[in-house]
Amino acid sequence: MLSDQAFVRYQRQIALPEIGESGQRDLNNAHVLIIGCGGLGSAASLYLASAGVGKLVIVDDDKVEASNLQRQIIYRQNQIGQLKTTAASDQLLAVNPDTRIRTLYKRMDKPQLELEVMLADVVLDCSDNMPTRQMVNQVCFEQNTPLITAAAIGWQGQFSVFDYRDGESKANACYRCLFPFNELKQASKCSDSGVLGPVVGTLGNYQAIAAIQLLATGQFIVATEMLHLFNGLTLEWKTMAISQDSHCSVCGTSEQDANYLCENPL
Amino acid sequence: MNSSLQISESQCSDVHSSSKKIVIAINDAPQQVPLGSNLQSIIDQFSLADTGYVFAINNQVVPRSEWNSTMLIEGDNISLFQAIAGG
Repeated sequence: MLSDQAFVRYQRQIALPEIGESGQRDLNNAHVLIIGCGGLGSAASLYLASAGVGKLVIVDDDKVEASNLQRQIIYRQNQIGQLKTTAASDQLLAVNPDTRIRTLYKRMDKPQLELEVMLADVVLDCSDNMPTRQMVNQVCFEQNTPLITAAAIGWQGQFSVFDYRDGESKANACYRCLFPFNELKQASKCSDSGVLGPVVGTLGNYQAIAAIQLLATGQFIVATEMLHLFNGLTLEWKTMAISQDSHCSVCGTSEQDANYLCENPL
Repeated sequence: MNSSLQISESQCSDVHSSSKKIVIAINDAPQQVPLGSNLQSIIDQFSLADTGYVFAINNQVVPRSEWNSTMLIEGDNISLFQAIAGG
């Protein structure tokens, strides 16, 4: 049962037929792992806390800097110098004191990530580097946990949902099939080049929408295993289907990784 | 769904000589490439970096391990873009 207070607070999303009271209860009981609390994590975590997601675990190993405030809208001027995890937690609790928040001020190793993924209903990859993204993908795949991933740079954004749950909805491609790279050489991090705040925010909002769909209705309504490309100049989206790479080192059936083939052409 | 994938060279060589060029579109711009080109040869022809790129043909992403075997045909609509990791 929702309390009267909760019913009033969430009435505008309870009124959505796809959500209703039972969807709201499911949101209140849900546990979301958010890896990274920069521009993506700012937007996603604010919307998930506002929507009444019961438990958020937020991971980041940075402190708030003045140059973050242009796009990482969860932080405030007077939080410069604080741990992002602490600052984000304070802001989220100010929005919704019913949210249970646990923070990890560190870059996790694989065993710790495995534990955190095991506890989560869904994982949002809001990180800013390829090694983390590959590790998050691998662990989500291995543990059959849905992964909602996004990235942004400049005026561009990329968004994908991989539903790794068992059963009919089992993914037939993974993040590594799409991006088989352990590192990116070119400037691809917001901290190294330009990025527009609302562009990265748009991608973070997409992550929040997909998470709420899953948690409140039990399924993704958005198509999964698709790459959504956002162009912040034309404000157009392009959508592409992702195919499984039979040589993928995470989900592939062949023994050789695609990277092996790149480095050692047949 | 995607007829341009996995066309073997022998299928093309019946109708074209090997020096012939075909016109494809890369990110909506027309480009001439030699007949028999595959996706890997686009990376070479345009001197792009070894890692970080993704190809899609007619809005279907082509897995990295299939670049060498994915022959291009006249009129292919190719999207070429870089992976990004920022957040």
